[in-house]
Amino acid sequence: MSYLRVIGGLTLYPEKYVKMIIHEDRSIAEPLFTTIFFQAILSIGYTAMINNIFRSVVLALGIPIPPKLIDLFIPIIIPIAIVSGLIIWVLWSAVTHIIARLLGGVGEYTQILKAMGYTWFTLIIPIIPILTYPASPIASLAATPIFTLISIGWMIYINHHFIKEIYGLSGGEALLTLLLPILIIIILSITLPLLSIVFIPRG
Amino acid sequence: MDRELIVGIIIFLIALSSLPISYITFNTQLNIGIEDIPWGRWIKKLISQNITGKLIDNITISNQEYPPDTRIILSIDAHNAVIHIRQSNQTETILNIRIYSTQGTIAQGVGEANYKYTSNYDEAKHILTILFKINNYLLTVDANPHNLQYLTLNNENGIINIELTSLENASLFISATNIFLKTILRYDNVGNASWDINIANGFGNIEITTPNKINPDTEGRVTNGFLSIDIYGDIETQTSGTFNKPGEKNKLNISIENGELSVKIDQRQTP
Repeated sequence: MSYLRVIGGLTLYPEKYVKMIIHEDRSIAEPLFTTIFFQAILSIGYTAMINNIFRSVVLALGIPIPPKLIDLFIPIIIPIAIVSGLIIWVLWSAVTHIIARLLGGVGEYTQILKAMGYTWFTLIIPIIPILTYPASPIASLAATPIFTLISIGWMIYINHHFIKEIYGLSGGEALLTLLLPILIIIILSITLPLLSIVFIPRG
Repeated sequence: MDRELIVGIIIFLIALSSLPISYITFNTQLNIGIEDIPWGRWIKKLISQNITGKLIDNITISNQEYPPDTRIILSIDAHNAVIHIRQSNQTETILNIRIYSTQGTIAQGVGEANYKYTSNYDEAKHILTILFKINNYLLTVDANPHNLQYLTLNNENGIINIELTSLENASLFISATNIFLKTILRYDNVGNASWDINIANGFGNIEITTPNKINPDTEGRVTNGFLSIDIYGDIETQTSGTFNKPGEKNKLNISIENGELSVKIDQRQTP
């Protein structure tokens, strides 16, 4: 089963393809690639959008920051965002695994790690505002939180099937397993960017 | 091909297609006004509080000849733009006009030279008129010195107005959405170029004289002289320029205090 078919299958028939992925015991390379690829695409797009807005505000405020200096931050921010995505993936999988085991699940950590990596493709939803930004910047920015929530919901839905299949948990237990790490992810997603800003070297 | 494969390919094509669009976003001016940004109106209100009202009372520089190393900078804070008029003697002969503004800078993505200008040379009057445009802001150069009295900049309802009044004929056009500013670059019969902005009768004027001839055939160029008008997107809280002449020291101070921009000339005779 080709990689592209897996992604398409998870989109169209998630329940069926979740079972197929687990039973095929596929390589870690595919979920790793999925996480890095979609995290990178999203980071580049949103850095471009934020940079564009930031320059407008900075110059409108009359703050004497040369545009080229602003651009210097881009090669720093994008790798940080990609690494943050990888950290979230590994940690979320670990926390999910621990909770699932505490609830009586029998799966392995590598199984949930691989499974959750695949679901990073759902970031395709918040990538859509990047495409529409040049045509309609403000509408795209306004749509971003909605698209992000849809993406997270979709990711939870697919992972819910993965947890049920890997750990043999009921639907309610699988949902509980997912929601607890989500709270931790939300906290991390707030603190990691703040920490990265703190550690950016001052030009 | 089955449906799963087609959907998988579509997802990756969508993701990859965002890369060139991100590149465009990085490098393109999207003409976003500050009011379009969340909380932009609030931010704008804060800015307006600092620039509302009369910003310039008068500008006075003594009328004299300056040595080759003369350097004069005039800064006018116009909300999103600070106008610098600079003259210095360089080996380079280009009349250098660089414009920085909120919109102009972003349009280029590099903060450099987003302008269009045309010039017109009147042989009979030895007057070179320069017109240049910054996106929505159009500034023109006035061929009518010695009749400007005040240059006033204010911000009302988000519109930047530049107003010039004169004891004689007002020579500045004011537009609700565009800015028109006129000034003059001229040269005399022996080929000396000069830039005159006469601010007020009795107060003196700004006169910059280049030691060499302007070539009228080259648009906006000064031979062995350097004349530039810079409009920056920043607000300079304080700056100063000095120009020296053997036996004299003059200092030009430009500052913004309590929302008012002032330009003062400190003339001192050296012993």
